[in-house]
Amino acid sequence: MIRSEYVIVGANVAAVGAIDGIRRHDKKSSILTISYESLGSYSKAMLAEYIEGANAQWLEYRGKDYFKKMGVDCLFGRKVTGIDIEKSMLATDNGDEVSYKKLLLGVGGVPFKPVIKGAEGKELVFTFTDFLDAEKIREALKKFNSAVVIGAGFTGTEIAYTLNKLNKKVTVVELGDRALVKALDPKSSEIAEKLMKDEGIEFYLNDTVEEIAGNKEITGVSLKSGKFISCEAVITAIGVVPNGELMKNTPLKFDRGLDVDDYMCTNVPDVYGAGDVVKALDISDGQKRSLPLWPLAFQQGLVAGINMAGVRYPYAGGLPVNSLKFLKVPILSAGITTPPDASYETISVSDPKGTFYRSLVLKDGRLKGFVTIGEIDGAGVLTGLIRSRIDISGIKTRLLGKKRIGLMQMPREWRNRIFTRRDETDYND
Amino acid sequence: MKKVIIVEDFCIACYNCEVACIAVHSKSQDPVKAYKREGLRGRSNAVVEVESPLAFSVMCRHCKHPWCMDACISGAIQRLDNGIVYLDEERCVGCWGCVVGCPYGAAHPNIAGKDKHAFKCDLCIERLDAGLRPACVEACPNNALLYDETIEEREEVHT
Amino acid sequence: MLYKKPQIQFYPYIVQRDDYKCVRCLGCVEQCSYDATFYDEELDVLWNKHEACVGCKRCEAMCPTDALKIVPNPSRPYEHASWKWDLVMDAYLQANTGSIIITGIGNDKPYRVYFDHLLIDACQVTNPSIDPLREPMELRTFLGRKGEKIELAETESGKIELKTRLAPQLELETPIMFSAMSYGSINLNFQESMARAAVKLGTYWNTGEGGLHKKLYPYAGRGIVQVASGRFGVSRDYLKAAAAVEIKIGQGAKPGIGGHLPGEKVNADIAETRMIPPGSDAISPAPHHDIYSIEDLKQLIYAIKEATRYEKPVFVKIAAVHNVAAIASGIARAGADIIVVDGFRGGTGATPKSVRDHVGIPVEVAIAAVDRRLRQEGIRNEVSIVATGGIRSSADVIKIIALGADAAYIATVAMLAIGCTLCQTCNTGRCAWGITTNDPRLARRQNPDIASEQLYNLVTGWSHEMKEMLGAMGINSIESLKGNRLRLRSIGLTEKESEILGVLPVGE
Repeated sequence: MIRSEYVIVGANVAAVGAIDGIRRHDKKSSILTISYESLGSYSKAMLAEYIEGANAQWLEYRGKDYFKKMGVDCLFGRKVTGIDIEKSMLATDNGDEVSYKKLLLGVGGVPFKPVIKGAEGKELVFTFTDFLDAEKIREALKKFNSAVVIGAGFTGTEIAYTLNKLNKKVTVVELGDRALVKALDPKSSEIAEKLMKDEGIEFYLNDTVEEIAGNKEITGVSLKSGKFISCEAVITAIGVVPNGELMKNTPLKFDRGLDVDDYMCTNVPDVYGAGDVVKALDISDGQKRSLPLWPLAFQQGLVAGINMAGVRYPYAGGLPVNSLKFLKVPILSAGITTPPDASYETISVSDPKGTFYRSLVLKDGRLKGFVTIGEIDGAGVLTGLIRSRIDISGIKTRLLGKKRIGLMQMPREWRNRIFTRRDETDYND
Repeated sequence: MKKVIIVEDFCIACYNCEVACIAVHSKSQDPVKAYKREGLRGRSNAVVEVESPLAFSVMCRHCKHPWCMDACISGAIQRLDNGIVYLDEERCVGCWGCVVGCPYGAAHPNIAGKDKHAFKCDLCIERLDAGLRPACVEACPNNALLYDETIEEREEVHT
Repeated sequence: MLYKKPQIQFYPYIVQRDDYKCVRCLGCVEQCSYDATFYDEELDVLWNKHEACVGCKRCEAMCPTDALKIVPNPSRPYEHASWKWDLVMDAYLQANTGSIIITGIGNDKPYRVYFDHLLIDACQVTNPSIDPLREPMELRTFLGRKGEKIELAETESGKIELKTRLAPQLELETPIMFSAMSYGSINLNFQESMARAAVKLGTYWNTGEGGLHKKLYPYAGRGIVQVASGRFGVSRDYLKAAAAVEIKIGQGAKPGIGGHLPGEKVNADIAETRMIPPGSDAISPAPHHDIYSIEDLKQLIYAIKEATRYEKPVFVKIAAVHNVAAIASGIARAGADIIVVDGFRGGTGATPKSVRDHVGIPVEVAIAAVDRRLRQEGIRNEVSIVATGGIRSSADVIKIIALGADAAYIATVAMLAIGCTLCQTCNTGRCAWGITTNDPRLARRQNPDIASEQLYNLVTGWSHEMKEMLGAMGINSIESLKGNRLRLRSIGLTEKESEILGVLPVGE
């Protein structure tokens, strides 16, 4: 039996955050991370680069010796199969038992797979979530020249763009009426779609794949609208849902996401959660939900780690922030980009060439979200304004200019605190 | 830790900090060559904002909890043991997470060309190692940039 | 090209830009306060409007790649012995405006500088020179009325005590003070810098006639406050806070001329300090309207002495004019403790050019005349004499003290210490060096942390040099040099000039 003071299931960004957090207050106690992935800690947000041909080491998030440097033991390539809450024990797929004092579940999300007729038993049907998926796609690259991507969300557009770049004929099928509906407002979706169409990607909106045709080899997909798209591969990228597999048959509360309190602790003391698996506070609307986003996973991990080490430290909530890194013209967004009701105010500016667009969503004079395309330098100032909830009704139009967004518009006292004092940048900031 | 303290009352918008920053982060270490041969124009980590009569130069605050680091998907941004928040441009993949994360607008995108990556102030780490002050501070003619402890840290020393 | 009038087309300066070295940092655009530099984004080129350039060299100083040089325009009007180019330009200008030409700084005409015709003595063999690094050397100076005699008395316990009540004195660690420059003509940053430097140096600074800003009260213990014809900012607290009070009758750069700070320059802060409504013109009349005689002056002097309980010396400042000696005698008799004589090279924020360049006399001559007159009348001990207006170096200070002054005021050189390039456009209020301006964009160019240090350095350097010169003369105290004209010789002066200065020609 393996014993460890802290055990972390998962080795990705939330786990790294947690290790940072624990080691901030506890330099000695043993930490063990267990991950089913042999690669250990790598950047899931960079899988597209792997498909494009980058080597696996390139994906390493914190360098090779990170775990060693932090004094963390690793069990990589080992899957946790069960949790015994009463005994504070974990079981792994090779029969090992691991006992913990404090446990963090950073098990992430699993791709949401709709049931599609004809999907079973075909080689070139993929998901695009973890390294194994990426590896499969990369190995199969020579076997297909055209693909249909189901879902025009963040991962869908990214894999579509990547495959297109690798000279595949790519068609994206999306149930909604526009691409990137979660991250962007209609106008910016239109710009993003245009950018991708210019590259040769085709879009079928308001439609869905009913059946994948072909026997072992795919010949095409038939859509609900009756259209037929011939292709050789299908990638479903509808999104990820919190991975609830381990929580089954345990007292842990899981309902479309692991329930955690303000300290990232689950309903069971000493069991914490962080990352894509949990439902945590979204500060743009004050709701708790699963937000599978990189910075939030890190921050949640960090907060969980600090609390696991015995220091009470609340999670202030996260803000959904998106960056479409793969496009030629950069697109950034944060918070609420499409106003849900009339109490929100939207102001926007764009140039006719479509390479610059910015829209701000406000409520009661406070910034709630934004999209900026083309000119992105200083966009973080806007993110900061959402977080700090400063009334910007007096300066909102000045934030719309094409010029770089700076601190000139901020209150002088705020600015001078930043300029001359120790940073209090905290997650409560 | 010592960092660059910005004294906005005395910035005169001379842009010498920007030029010094670009020169010191260039191969040639020469401002004219850096701008004209190495194409580093606009690549200053310190950015002067001017709205007369106000002006100030802003660069990374080297936060204790850097938002940019949280957002960095490649691990290119890390907080070093000496407190410097360092962006390794070689490892940066240009995801702009830091650009949208930094509330001070101190991480900048270099979008143009093949060399797509973010850049930010490294507090002139090499100069510090050599016992020098950061280049922007050295270049500032009006003490609008100081390399010093923060106000609280100075107060702690004096009390 | 479109036709331009001669005074525009024959502009005095050219901005030479080395376009290869220019990296388009745009620093020069921001630095130029005269709109002579601008950036053309379309062409990515920096253009210069040479005719707007005043030659202040601010852009040249701040250019990080040394791409700029401000040079005299070789094509400015031809000159001959009588018609200098600036006279020609003035004629062109006035033909268009019909108004008085206003300018700043001090007289720039090539009148004889008597300082440059005086040489200092040194010891050889017959009496030893002194090394100021090894032996005590005193620059300490007391300003104020010195009595005829002092009486001492022995107390019961056998201690010796001073029986005479001494008049109030100012104690200077070095006989160099910062001369009057008002808040309004200069900005608060520069005034604060002088105040801080004066405190650190153990000397005094002068508020000028613009009142004492509330921020500078902590430095008032080393401050001399002015009461001028406009009476700006004069209040009980003002007089009480200061170390001494100066009644300003005249100024070397503009003898017989008043002052006028236009309303648009009177911002809220200046208005509060001057105690006038914001936006109103601050007019200092040419004369004090309550002073038409020595007797009237005496009334004001004693009114101030009453108000300050006879605890503070009272200065009276006059411009050096033709009969300065007789006036000084009257001032001494009116009860002033210190007389300030301001020579015709003294600076100003704004004055008619015709007055600046043609009215008054040099301070060297004026001090020699005043000192001689007061000694002849046996009242030299009744007053201290401070020389100002044209003091350029430590040697000038030594020479003026040997000619009879007790101390010197400096101002133009203090501005040079913080960057002034003598472009003579103080009157525009757009000083690119941030000295003679209250434009918040420009005033911030003087950081008191730096400027006070530079002023301190300047005066410290001068003081060291003065000690060296004193040592060379075998004198270990500045007191011994006062009026000691035997230690000076004239060179290249007429017999009459030497006689007026009271010095022998070289070789004699």
